[in-house]
Amino acid sequence: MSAENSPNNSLSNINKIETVEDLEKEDTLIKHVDITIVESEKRANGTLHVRDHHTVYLIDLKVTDPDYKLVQTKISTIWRRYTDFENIHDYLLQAAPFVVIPPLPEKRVLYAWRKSDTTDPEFIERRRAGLENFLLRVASHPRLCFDSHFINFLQREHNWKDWIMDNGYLLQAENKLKSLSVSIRLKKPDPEIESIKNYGRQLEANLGNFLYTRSKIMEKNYALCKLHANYGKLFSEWSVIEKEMGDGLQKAGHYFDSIADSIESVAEDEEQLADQLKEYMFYAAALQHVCVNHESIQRDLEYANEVLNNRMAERERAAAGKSGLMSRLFGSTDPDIVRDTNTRALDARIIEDRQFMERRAKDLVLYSKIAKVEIEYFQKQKDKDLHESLVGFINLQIKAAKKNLHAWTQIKECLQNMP
Amino acid sequence: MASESSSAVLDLNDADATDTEAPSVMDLDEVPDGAPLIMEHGYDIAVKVDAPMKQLSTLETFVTYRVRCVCARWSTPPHVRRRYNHFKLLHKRLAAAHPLLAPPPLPPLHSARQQLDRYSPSFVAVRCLALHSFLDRIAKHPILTHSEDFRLFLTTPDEELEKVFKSENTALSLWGLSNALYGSSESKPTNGARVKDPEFTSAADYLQSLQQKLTTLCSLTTKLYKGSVSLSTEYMSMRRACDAWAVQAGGRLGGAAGACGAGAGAAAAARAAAPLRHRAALPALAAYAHAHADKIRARDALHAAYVSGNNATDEVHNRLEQASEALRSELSDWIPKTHAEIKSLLLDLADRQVNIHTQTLMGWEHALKLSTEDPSQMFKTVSKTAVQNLSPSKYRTITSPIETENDIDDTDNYSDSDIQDVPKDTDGSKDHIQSDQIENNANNVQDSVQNGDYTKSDSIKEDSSKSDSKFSDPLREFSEVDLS
Repeated sequence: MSAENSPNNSLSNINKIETVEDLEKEDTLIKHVDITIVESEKRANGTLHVRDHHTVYLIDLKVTDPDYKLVQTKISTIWRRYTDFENIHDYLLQAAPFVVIPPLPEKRVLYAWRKSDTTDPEFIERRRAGLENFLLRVASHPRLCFDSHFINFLQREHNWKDWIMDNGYLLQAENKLKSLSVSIRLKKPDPEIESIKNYGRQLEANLGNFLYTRSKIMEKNYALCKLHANYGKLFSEWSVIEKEMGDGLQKAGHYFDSIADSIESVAEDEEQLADQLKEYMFYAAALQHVCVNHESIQRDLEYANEVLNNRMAERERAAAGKSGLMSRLFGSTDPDIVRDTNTRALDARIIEDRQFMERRAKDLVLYSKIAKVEIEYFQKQKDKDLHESLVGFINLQIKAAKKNLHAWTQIKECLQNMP
Repeated sequence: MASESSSAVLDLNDADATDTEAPSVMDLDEVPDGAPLIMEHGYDIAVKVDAPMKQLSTLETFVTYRVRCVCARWSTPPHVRRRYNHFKLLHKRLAAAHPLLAPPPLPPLHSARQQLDRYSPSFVAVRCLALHSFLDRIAKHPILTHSEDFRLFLTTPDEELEKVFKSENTALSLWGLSNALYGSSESKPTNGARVKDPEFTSAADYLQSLQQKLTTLCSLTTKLYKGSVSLSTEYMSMRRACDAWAVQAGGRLGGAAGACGAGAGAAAAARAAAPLRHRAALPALAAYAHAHADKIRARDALHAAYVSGNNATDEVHNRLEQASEALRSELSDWIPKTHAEIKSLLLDLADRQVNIHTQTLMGWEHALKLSTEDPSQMFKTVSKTAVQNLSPSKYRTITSPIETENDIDDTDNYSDSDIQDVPKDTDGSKDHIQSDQIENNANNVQDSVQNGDYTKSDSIKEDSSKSDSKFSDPLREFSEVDLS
């Protein structure tokens, strides 16, 4: 399955890569080109409806290595929309099922703490950053980055959609998705794969919980900080009617206003961190994908095994002359020669089945090997990235707390200096 | 009134300016004396209202408050118990005895809805504070403090109060007197131009706006505290999510997640309880300003009556002069005192916020340290920093002892329903690639962090029993999350 439609050379190098270190030393696209998504634009849909717009993003490709030949031109730009990204992502899912494919940014707004939808300029900006991140991640993965379809995605203007549909990958992807949603029961599930799948599930759930609670905190904190603006207004109005307290009240009022304003930048920064965590939530789903692919290969193998066993049993029965309904009712009825032909036919089938099964078994072993390397690669990256994100989150909280503390200390001082 | 022994006991946090008292009141006889009353500089009297208690009598149940007084002018019993109606009576009599002055306002009666939670701890606590400020203002008032009614209120033993205080004749005569002073003129509204006396008009305007400002301030502050408390609940949710994550992930990542949880926990603890003093004091001040504004209006009416000429006699003129003089001296005394009280209330608010943010900041900084430390070093370093950063004495100096509200209803709603199910697979996570040793270290860190949090929340005097049980057993806490 994995060897059948590998249109590029990197996937055939799979045997060379044995360990994570090998993977890390491989050449990647990102070492030779710079990929950025520079801007976004609104385009009208085909319909005449005034409201039907979609957003396109400008991918900018700059070749930094002067000798690099793989990429077609030196600098190229191309407009793509989110659906195009989805297409290439689904293709990768299907073309390299043993790789943990980098996820796209969210399709719908998740864990929103204020009313927003996908047409918000802020959301579009975050999506732009997310898509750029997606491209960078794919370009840094040694197995994915040299895929011809991916490179065409970055460069080919015309008929890209038709080309990618021509490969029929879409159909295959749809079938894949359907089969993945069915839970696979194995006779002897691989414990390591099982544990990794569970880990992925738990990670997804934990990240989801974290993101949910964070959004609730942000919502309430935001409302609370905006409340301080009311204080500011109250104090400044009050300072007008007071004689001695007036000065202190007015100064304090200014600090209240500053508290109300400070939350905006904190909210923005935290949203970026949340995006990083969302990425890993989707990554966890991709990890589970890889495990499920493994399971489906294993199921194929077990199925092949079963077929073989059935066939062998059938052959035994044929040899003993017991095949068919008649023989079960009346005992052995076939003459010897019929028995022999049957047996020989079944023997041939058995050999076929055995070969088929051995191929499957080899597939599984190969897949296992590659997948495990990929998973380990992913884990290392994930640990590093998530740790960084969490530390960033803590730092952000510290910054926010410091701001608040500073403002309130000043307020306290103003109040104390009142007569 | 105080004859029946009390069975229901209201358990409240009570604190005055100098020290904290034991919160629970068990029995009438066993009430501790509490902090000694100290007279403030320049005054020869100090009063205190505290220790509310529910009392059951044959006819009705009501709440009584303990009133203590220390005075140089007369000898007082150690304490007496009064109920709201007694305070109401005192107020009425003071108003009647000094028609030109506005006595401090009483806390309001229940509205019909509040009748349902007449005995809710927060309501009773707020009322207790309001009654205290009521008596305090009277005691510090240059004229009212010498009133006979006041003295009777403070010194009569509980049993004799009925007879002494409720004497009908005094009430009637006083009522007649006050009517004579103001009654006739008020019944005839002046036709013609309203008299505007610049001196009192500006004062009236000021009082009106002040009243508005104080009411707004009170509602804003209540909202602020409520918001803080609900934010605290959310931080607790985050803490639980982080802890669940820390268990599942091992090593450095788990450590970071656990650290995040610790920070969130500190933020939650800082905001847990909402103080109440402003809810009593600010409306009282607003009502007081309003009362004075009313007196000014009365004086103006008198002035108008005088000017309009119908009974322009010397007597009216005298009364007018009296009223004006009384108002002038009253305002000159009242305004500085009120300003001082407002300042102290605002400083309370600022103090509390500063505390909240300081504790939050410390919690997150500690979390940063935890998360960026080398896992193998983590155990060693944490023990040192745990001792330094989480020592109880450090926290005691920070938190100012102010009345806090046990919003038990709010804290009980730590709903686990929001958080998704974390699939139960502790075996699976153990098979994970990370080394067991690192995992153990991470767990140890969480243990010590949580124990550290326990001391934190302990020394912070927020008496939230639920948070105590949360911090006591780390393992039990984790299993709490795995609910279906």
